[in-house]
Amino acid sequence: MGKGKEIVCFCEDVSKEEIVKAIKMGFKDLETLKRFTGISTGPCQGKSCLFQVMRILAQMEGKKMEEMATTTIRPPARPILIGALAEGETRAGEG
Amino acid sequence: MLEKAEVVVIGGGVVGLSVAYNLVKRGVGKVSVLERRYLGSGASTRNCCGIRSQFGAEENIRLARESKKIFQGLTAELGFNILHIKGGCMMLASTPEEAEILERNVRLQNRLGVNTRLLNPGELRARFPYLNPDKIRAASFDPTDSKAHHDAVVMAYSEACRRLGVELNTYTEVKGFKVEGKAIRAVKTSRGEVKCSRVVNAAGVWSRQVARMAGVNLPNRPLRAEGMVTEPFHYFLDPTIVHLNGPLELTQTLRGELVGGLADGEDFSLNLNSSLSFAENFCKRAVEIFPRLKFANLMRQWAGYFDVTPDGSPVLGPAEEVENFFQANGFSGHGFTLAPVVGRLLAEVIAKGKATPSLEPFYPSRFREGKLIVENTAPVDRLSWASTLPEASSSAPSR
Repeated sequence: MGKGKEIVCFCEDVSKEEIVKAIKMGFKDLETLKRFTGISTGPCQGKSCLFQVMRILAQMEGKKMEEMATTTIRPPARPILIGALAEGETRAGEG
Repeated sequence: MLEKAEVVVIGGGVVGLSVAYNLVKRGVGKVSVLERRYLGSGASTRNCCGIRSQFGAEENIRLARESKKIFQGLTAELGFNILHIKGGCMMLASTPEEAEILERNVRLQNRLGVNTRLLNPGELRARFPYLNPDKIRAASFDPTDSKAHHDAVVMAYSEACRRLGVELNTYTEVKGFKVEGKAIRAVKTSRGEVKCSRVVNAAGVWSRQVARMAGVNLPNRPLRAEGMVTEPFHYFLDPTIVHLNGPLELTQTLRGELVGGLADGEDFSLNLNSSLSFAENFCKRAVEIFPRLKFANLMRQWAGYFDVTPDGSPVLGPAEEVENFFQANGFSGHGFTLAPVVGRLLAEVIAKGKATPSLEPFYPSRFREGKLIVENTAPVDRLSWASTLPEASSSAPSR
């Protein structure tokens, strides 16, 4: 890793510099910024990176964090084996 | 926002952006795109990235064949990598009825110069060892079909539009129209009014609602579907796999994740909540045909929708009731494949004021005239409401 390089999204290997560049290109909507850079689309599904990126976007757009909205949060909370879902095992604890 | 534009395009999805891009490229003047959320927020980026010409209606095959050619050079044309790869598309059938559809479609495609082939069981096993042959009665394969990353395609078109001076208005909702005689004079939006000479309705599942505001009846309905993506893997899966029952789709993008989806069921709501029942149903059926999938982790799921028409083919061209109101909707699950060619052909019709032969069969008037383009690979075929022609024509314009 180069000196001074700040990684924002570890799953997809995206640096702060790349986020700043994308925002300057015009991806100022968190939803499109996510799709352009790939942040929040890896195995952690945004748990470690989304707020970092929101903070950078807020700072550059002169907004407060309270004014920012997250992207749509989608299931599952953690990756699940397709085999388990196919067998209906994810409902084992029900009832 | 502009006060006046030559053309207003309603819908900032892949179809609307392709139409807008082709319009400015032809030099028709100022083009303004109105999008209620963010660009590509609807079906454009909720699909499974497949591009094919394996259709059952001649008109659709002809359009898709042209679209595939445009996709091949799209990265260069738009100056943005759309992660396109010619991995082929394999369509699968499990029942005798589905097998018959594939056989019939392959004959038609071959007659139109598309080199689709039915694979025999030996070939299927040798070329696609990861598929379970016990669950597959027939398979058709066209090596010239392809896939591209849906987000990248939307961004490629939107960046090209931006460069060429198209006004892209996000979070701008259409509230109504100013109609005089048989023409729209202005579009009323949540952010003000735009005067215009022509309007394009590329609003996807909202197209019917949008059209109604201008006094135009469309027979389109939204059909709910859901999708999922796995953790990324080393790239191994070239073809897009489409199982006719559903359809169920599965492929791998060049980013490595496996993308899959299923339109099974008859939910016509715009509900975008993901469901556990989809995840279970999809996974069960996907593992049946692709057993080793059970070792992959499902990472994210989402919901989407198809804008379906009674015949499973798109609605393209001017409305009968309002002559400067062009439709580009009702794609019934094939908007991603057809967006490049539809953008080109519609821009030509709008710029020249003259129809092209490949577009004319798709005019909205076909529902009133009963000249349906029945597409047997569209999800709509399996719905009882769609198979009844009188119902379809009763919702068409009465004039």
